[in-house]
Amino acid sequence: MLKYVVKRLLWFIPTLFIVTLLGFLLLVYSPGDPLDMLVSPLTSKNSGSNDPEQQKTFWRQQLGLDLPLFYFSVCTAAEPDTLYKIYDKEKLKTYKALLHQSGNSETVNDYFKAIQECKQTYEIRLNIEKQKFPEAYNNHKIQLSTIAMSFNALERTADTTLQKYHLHTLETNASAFSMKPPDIYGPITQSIKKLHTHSTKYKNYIPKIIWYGTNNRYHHWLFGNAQSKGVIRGDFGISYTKKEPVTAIIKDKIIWSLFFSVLSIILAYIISIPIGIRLAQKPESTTSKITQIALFMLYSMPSFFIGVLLLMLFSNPDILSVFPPSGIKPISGYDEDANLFEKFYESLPYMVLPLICYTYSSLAYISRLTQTSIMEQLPLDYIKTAKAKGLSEKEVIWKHALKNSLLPLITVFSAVFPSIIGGSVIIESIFTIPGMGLETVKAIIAKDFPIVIAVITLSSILTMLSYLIADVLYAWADPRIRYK
Amino acid sequence: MKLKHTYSTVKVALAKNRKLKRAVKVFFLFIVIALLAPLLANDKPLVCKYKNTWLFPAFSFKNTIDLGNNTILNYNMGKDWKLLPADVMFFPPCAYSPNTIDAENAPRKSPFGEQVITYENGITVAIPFKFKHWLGTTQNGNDVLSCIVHGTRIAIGIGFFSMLIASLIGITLGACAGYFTNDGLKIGYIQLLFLITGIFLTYFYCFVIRGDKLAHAFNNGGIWLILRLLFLCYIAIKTIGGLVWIGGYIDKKLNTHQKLNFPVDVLVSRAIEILNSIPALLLIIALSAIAKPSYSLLIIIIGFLSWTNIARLTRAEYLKAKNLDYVNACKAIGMKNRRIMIRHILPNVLPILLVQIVFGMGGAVLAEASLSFIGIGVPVNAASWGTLLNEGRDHFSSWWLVVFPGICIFLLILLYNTIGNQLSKLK
Repeated sequence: MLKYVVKRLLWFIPTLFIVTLLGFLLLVYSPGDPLDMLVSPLTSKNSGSNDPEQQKTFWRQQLGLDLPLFYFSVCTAAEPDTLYKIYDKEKLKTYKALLHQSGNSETVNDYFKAIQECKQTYEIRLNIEKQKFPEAYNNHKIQLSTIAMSFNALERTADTTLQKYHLHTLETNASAFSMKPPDIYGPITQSIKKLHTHSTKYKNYIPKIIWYGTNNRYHHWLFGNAQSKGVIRGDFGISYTKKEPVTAIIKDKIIWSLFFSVLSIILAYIISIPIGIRLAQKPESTTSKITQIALFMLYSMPSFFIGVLLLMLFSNPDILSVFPPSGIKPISGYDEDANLFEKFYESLPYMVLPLICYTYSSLAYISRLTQTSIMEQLPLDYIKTAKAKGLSEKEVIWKHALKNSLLPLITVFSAVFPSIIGGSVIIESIFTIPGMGLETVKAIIAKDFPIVIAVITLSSILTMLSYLIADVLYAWADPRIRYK
Repeated sequence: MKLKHTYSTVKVALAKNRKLKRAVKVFFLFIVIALLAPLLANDKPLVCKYKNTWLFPAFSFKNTIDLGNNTILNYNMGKDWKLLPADVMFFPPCAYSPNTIDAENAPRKSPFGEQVITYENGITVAIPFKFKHWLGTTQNGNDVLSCIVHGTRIAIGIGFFSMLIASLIGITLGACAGYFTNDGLKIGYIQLLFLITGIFLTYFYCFVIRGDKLAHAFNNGGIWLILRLLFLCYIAIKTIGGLVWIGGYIDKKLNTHQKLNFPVDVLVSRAIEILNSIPALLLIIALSAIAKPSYSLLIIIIGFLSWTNIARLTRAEYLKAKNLDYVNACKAIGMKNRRIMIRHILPNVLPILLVQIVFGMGGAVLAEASLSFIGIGVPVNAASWGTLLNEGRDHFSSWWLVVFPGICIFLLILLYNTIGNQLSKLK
């Protein structure tokens, strides 16, 4: 048995590898720039500076954004090995588009270099201008900003007509400062020409694999580096919006989610096993038929519909205001000297509606299974023997039949638990329970993906654990089952 | 493939089972509503006689029409159609489109409350019977009935297309895993080499070259995204298949007798296990938040994540079927594996798979409704049932925003569950 559990635990590794890979892909391809979110106008305590550019470089190093993505990359032969160093997504897009046009990375590099050189020469000239004619300089603020914008735009466009247009605006605006454009912008036009004359387009269709080794973002993210401990030791990085470690944020959220899911499963079993037994005893009676139909309909009800209906009926001042509409504890918080039981008692009215929401859908499932499995047992000989022995109906069913029909009920546990974890996203956001689900929704809306990944990884670990527990319980319930 | 067999099985089932028959009838009603949605709820009249010209605005794709005498009629005038002094005007049963904004009845008018309309001469009167908002209005003044009618399209379309993708993947993988198991598929060394190179090359030529274009397509969505992705996958599989065939040919010529077992079953079972251990709804939410929200993206995501149940069932059925007499007979007369799998086993298995596919459709509808309920991963301003419910949860006094769309979602899922349940009893 122990061997089996260890083997199963070892199988967690590939699954977790895939899950983390998926999470990492989410992190990389998520919209929005994490640097923009991390930069704050105030002096940040982490980077110790209030200059946005300095903060950006700090965070880029901290998050390892200047490293290659993965151990290797599959790309075209035209791509240079150090393409990952371009961080700006728009610039990278332009680079790739230009590369597709020419297939020669040197000419594309030349293009970007030419733009940088022009910018520098232009700035030098402008400084001279500033000292010579300060008044004229001050009068042409608009032209100045247009020129800066044109330089930026040139770095972000691969379209020839657009390039021409930006060069033209540069020319017209620079003429306000008595500068002769051609000798300043000459390198750019030359490099654009070179893109087409020195093209090696065939390189775009040759595959290439680049090996980066372990100094990459994924490796650092998974196994940790000097800054973080890595996902494998439970460090999911820093939340973009809150600038705190994700682990600390998740820690007190997971308790509520686990609390509700475990409690609701226990409740579901407590309620539905008696229902199932009653259904099995008198399967043809009208009451059990009505119960069956009602349960089947409940099973088809979406949880968010039930949740909103419950809120509408029971925490609406117009109809019935029995339960509080949101939250999990009084707004003022618990009393300081309250013990766990008192806290629970205080939170009870807040928990009623969410618990109904969590529980109702598994009711039909579990009671149906109880019914069928007990009905399978009833005609068997050992039940007849027990009855002949003089045991009451109750004893026969609860002590003998139920024990033997436990197996399918345990399987349900591994089917119900994952759906409850996934469903918590919706129920928690309806009732504003401060759990993992609500945190995920908030994080996705704020594009704070480290939290999302932490939640996904943790939920899949919980799910796998629930499968394992179900399997172990299986062996406990039926000694005939032996795992090798 | 003999679909005839599946069809006849289902037909017999329908004749036998009254519950199933009733459920399928109601389901067809839903499909008819979905298909005819623009004719059932539209702010353009179906038939209209204006200045001695007969017009059919609801059927027209044009934006404007020239009536002569310098009068140009704009077809997209929205609510103004109702004020047009026409001789004959025949509206659909619900005289509003989902995006028509009725500002007069704007902040959430109840179906039983007072609804008004102002005519061109400035007189405000109670709304006439034919223009009534039967199920009330939303915060902005959209008609709830119209949104529900058009939402049927989204709900049924998502279920149908995502399950199409899921069953394509699930049946293929499950059939291979069940039929070949771990020792059925032998592969030569050169074939293996060709397989690995094939996977690498197709990955490169299909997804790396112009990967930015694909990313762009993902952001734009639309039916082309689905077609493009399916086409790319088809090309990739065909290329890999071709290369493997060439590898097998070389193996034959070189007379290499050493062959490896290709463990299809282990690979597929592991993939199913891994995918099952990630909570699907969480993953769908996270994935759909990456690109710009669109329904085609949602279909692809749901389709690619929900094939596991179908694959598991297919695997089990193929495992059972491969030892049956008719399969052995097929093998004995020298039929190829693929032909046995597709033309002989699949028609026998399909009615059983149908159960799982129908349940999957229900799951897809639920996933879409949940997503639009929390407002992540679905287009803004789309007429979806979940979106209406989402609006209703902020305004408890407007019960019609909660009850009607909720009942619709409930009914559709109940239908899918009933059909699936009854189909599964037939075995």
